[in-house]
Amino acid sequence: MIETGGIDPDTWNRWHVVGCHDELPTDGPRTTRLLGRAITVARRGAGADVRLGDGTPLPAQIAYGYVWTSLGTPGPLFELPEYAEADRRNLNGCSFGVRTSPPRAIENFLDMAHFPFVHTGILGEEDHPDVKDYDVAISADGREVVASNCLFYQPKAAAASTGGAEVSYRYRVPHPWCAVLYKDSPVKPGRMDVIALFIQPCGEEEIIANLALFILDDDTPLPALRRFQQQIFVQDKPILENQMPRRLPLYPRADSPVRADKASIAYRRWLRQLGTTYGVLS
Amino acid sequence: MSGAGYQPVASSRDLVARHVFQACLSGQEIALWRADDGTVNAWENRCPHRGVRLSLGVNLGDRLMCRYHGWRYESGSGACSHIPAHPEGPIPATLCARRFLVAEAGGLVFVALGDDAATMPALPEDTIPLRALPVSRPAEAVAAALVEAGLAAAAPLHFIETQDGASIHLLIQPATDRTCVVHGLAETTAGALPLQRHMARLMESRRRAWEARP
Amino acid sequence: MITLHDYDLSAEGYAVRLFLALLGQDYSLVPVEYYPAREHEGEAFRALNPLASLPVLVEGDLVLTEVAGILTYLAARHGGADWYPAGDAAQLGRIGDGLALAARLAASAGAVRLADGMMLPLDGAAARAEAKRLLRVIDEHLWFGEAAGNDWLCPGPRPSIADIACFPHIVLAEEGDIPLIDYPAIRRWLDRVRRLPGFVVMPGVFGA
Repeated sequence: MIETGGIDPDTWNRWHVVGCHDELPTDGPRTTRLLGRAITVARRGAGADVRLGDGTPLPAQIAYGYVWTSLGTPGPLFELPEYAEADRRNLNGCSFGVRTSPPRAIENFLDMAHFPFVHTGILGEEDHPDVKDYDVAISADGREVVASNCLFYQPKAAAASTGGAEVSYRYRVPHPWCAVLYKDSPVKPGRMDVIALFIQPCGEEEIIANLALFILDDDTPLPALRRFQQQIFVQDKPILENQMPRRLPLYPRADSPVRADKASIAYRRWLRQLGTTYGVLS
Repeated sequence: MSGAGYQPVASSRDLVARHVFQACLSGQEIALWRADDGTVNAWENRCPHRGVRLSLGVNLGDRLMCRYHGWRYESGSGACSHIPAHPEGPIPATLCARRFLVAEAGGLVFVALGDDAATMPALPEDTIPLRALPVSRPAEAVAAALVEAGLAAAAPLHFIETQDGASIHLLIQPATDRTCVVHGLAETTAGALPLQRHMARLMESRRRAWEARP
Repeated sequence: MITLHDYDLSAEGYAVRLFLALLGQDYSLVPVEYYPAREHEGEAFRALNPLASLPVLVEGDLVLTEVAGILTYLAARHGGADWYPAGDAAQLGRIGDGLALAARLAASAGAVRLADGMMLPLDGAAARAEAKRLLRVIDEHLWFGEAAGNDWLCPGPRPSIADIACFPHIVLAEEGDIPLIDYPAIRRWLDRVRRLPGFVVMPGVFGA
């Protein structure tokens, strides 16, 4: 048994992402941090070996191109069936260290209203700032938050876009620190690209954000796909690092949500239901 | 820090047009900005919506715009007047930047964090503000060092000395529990720049000594 | 035609892109993936720049591999008297000092920003301490400049390439956990640079 140090049971017993499998070094283990503890992640063929700093082995699995581990006794990882669809390209769009809490990063990922101001000319523009009403719910089994029927005007929604378009979005939050976005494919009408944010919780105010792409785009070269995602993610970085407090406040009236923030309101309510105390202020 | 009265956080000339000054007083971050009509606003340095620092925002002259979602807050009242995501409104009347009492005196800008009837420190007449010096030591430690150096104390964080023939008032702003900012007021009207340079060298030298202490 | 081999998130590259934009110069951009692919360390890129660093500017037969050299060349070649005071030895000396200061900022504030964001090994505490030492000197310099009616790093009515070279590392310093709250004259100077006609942003930098 590893000493939990007061970490809440839901957080303790989850699988957490600790890096993209393809990007693990070939010449030795990667040293990183998980929930405030030093760990090592080493490639073992198609698998991985994950250990605490003192050598204690941790459970490990490869899923959706990433290495996942846990300090506790994890149940099954959430499902992401699109990963297995034959016509998708699956890749790590980018991984960046950010000085914020895991839930602040998730909440930003669920937010459309900042597109015109933070991703100006790409995911939004100041002439089209309005967020239309959308639906949001916590699933009946309590296992995820879903926001659907989201519509937003985007000048350049994806690397393969050739012009502006009203883009429809759907979000799933199947893990407190993982969120999945489904958005109209600019290449294959009627299908949806999948972009996921997998947060490695290094500490309560220290994360590595991984943007995973599962997209219907056979033509755009890999570096161009990564370049597009890197640009967008790094635009969010100064916002995330300037949110005060860094931990997400769950207590009433901490912030002033409006209709556009329905997803955030549901997400915060879900974290309270899960009993999450890591990276939040209760 | 209720009841501490007005404490210096900037000089008046720090608040240039269309700029947002970032200050910290007793651990409370403040976004300070001057509207085009001269009004000085001292607001909690976080947007009430999602907590992003307002010092990252844009001083539009009569309103301050948050960088994250473009929400705008009115000079003076602090009231939110525009939410771009919902251009049709309505905006809740209670949606407002949190304001602090602010006053300008002697070329400095003072903020009172408490809501009580705050008092201004007694200041000399006809002074020029010196360049403020941030120090990576607590206010109390800097005050103790000034006492040790024999400077006259007019108040716990207010010291007086004579340099180059001018009386100098040093006012210490507790910034965080580990840092402070030393503001200076010189009782002089002539030869300001040479005195500024002299004081800058002297204070820089003192800072090196203070910060070298364990 | 100018060709710039560059990485979007490079602060050094941003100095060059910003200056090209202020000059209104067209150029073609060749993206080089510094992170995670480390394309700049590959054989193909080393053939262009054996230092394996970014950015690289190519115009005709000329290949330049340092920000100081690139900005100096662009100022002298395309900037006219506004950006290259050819007959003013003292000002050229000050600009040279400013370009060297930018290199010190790159090695401290710039390095810790990249290390934190891209999980690279670095003694972050030492880099932050050096950045703080530099920022204190720059803030005092700019404060006394303001008192004398000078808005820029080098005295005079116009910015110089010293401002352009230092700006990216300072405006991005907070990404490396170097807060700018203690440098109010620097924060005002950042606003002045943002308001230059033709100013462009990079990811992580906001406009005026």
